[in-house]
Amino acid sequence: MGKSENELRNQILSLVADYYKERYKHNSFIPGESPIRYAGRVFDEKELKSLVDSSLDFWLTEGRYAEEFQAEFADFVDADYAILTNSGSSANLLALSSLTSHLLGDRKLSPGDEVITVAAGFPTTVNPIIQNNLIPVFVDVEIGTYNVDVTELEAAITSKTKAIMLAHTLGNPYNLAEIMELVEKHDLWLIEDCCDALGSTYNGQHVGTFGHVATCSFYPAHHITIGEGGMVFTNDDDIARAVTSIRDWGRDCYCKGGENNTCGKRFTGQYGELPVGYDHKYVYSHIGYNLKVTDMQAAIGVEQLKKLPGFIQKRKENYIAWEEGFQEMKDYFILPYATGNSDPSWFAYPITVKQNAPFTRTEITDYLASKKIETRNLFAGNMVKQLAYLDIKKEIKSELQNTDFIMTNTFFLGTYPGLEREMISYTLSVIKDFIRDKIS
Amino acid sequence: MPVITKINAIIKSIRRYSEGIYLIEFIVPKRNTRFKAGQFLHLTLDEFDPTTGFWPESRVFSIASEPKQDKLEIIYSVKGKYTKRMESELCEGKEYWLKLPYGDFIVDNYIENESRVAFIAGGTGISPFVPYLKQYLKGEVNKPKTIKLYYGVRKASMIIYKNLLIELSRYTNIELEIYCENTNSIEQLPVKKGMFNISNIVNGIVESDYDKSFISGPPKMINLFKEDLINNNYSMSNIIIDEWE
Repeated sequence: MGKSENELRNQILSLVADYYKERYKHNSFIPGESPIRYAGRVFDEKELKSLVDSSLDFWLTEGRYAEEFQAEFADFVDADYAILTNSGSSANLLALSSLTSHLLGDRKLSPGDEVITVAAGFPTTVNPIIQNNLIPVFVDVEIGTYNVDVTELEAAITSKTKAIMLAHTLGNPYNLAEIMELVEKHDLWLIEDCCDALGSTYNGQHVGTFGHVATCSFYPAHHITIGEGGMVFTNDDDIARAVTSIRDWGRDCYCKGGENNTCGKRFTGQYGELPVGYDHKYVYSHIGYNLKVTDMQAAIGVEQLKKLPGFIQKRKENYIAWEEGFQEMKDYFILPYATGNSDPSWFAYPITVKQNAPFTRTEITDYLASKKIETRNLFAGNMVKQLAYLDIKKEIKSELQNTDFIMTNTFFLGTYPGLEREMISYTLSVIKDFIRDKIS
Repeated sequence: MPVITKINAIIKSIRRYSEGIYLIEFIVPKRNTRFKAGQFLHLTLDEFDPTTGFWPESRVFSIASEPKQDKLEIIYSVKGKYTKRMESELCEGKEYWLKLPYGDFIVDNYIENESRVAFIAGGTGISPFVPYLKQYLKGEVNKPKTIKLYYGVRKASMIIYKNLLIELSRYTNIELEIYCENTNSIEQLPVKKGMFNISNIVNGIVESDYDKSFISGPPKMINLFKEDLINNNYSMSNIIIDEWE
């Protein structure tokens, strides 16, 4: 007698667990031989089983796992809405674009409005500003927190300023108390890019829940991964509606795949100049795209989210390990520090080579690379000097001296949960050897 | 709408009011569901396999319970084929699939502190106002200066959430105007005998210049009120309707 569908499914998933044990055997770290990554996937058989379970549904677009992932994520950060998309970059695009929606009435962003941001960061925090015909206004950051200089931010506010879009750099929250004061005083939108900051808190509250809309990334380097993925989260009903619409081809309909007439008025409404009763499934109220993910990716996310508290804790422990190890090298490096009242879920450990150090940033990162130790620069360095940004319409409100200094002197080491203490110790010993050679 | 979730909920209780009006209480086993007062859910009587993704035929009902609880309540009246099925098939202790939340009738979104608002509820149309009013009593939503609730039912036995209405009637800034077709006397509640007097109610709203008027009930009732308000120069942007078929 043949097996039932459920029996077969369970058998397949059991084999997946066996496969995991065979394929992903833990390999011991061999100093000098094993590469030390700055970031990477951390998973076990549960993610693989969830992925395969979803694939057996063969429900290729968003489905039960996407619903679960979004709901659990919303619960985790304590937001009303969490909307899954195909990358953190898309999440940023959706978040900023939603603020141009007609649903927001007079408060919506319009072409020519200014959005304050920083150049010492990742390009897709800034790109949505440009793509919505808004003007990015760049201000400087602080060395040490690598976050926006709030004094410069305040000085940059003009009558054209309508929004602030900033990332919590490498997981370190910016000064939300002061920034929210400015947001409220000047009636500005705040978009919190939390792509590197999932789990970071400020005054005990998750970052991303202070401003109007926030984003997160699930690219493999990030706190949790689904391969390619991101999330927009908000408490604002209109923003949530706009984000969903823009993500889903710009349509007014909010039926999920496989559903019909969720609104109850599919053939009775009148929209724009369309005839009465035009199928609501094909009414478009925003300029949108298809920025969704597959349910298979969401299935991975459901399991990753369960591991997140442990990941956050490990990142914090790794940060402390770096901090302790770098104490004796403070003559050569500027060490990072957490913003006051914050508890970062560190994406990485950023350090800056001091002006008077006997080596350059490039020399040390090259040396570490030769020892199979990965590092990264602080993303775009000074974005306004990147090719893509030379000719855009922008405002630069200061010399951006710190930004330039970061561009030339800052790099970061990993804090991801796959990084073990012995890897950190080995890296520190390599750095010490490097410095010893330089000063001898 | 974002974060729409499908829940397999168990019916804890089915309470019959009179002549085909029922209040259903569901227990939500897993997580607290997120919705806002005024939103609605879909209920299906049919089997649903989440691995297939195809949602079966369902009907919409306003959520009559407060957010952030382990329970969901809906009120329905038996009118058509599907609600007749509900009457014969819904069973305490049995599991049913729900999906929520949906809808723009998020009452609190339209109310500013110190504003003056009118709620017009016809029959089971009181459902979307109930969670808002409960949250209002707890101070969890914006505080209008005045709430005028117009509530119309055919019979006294069809009054739902009577205790809530009695509690509301004790507040000086909340005024109840209840219409009942078969009686002018319901214990502890002010009642006028007769059907909703649309003209009088509209005149009252226009003269009192309420900042917002919310209308929930049968589509025909909604349209009559809406038209009359507009004909009396009440701004259309101040009329908020809970509209689904």
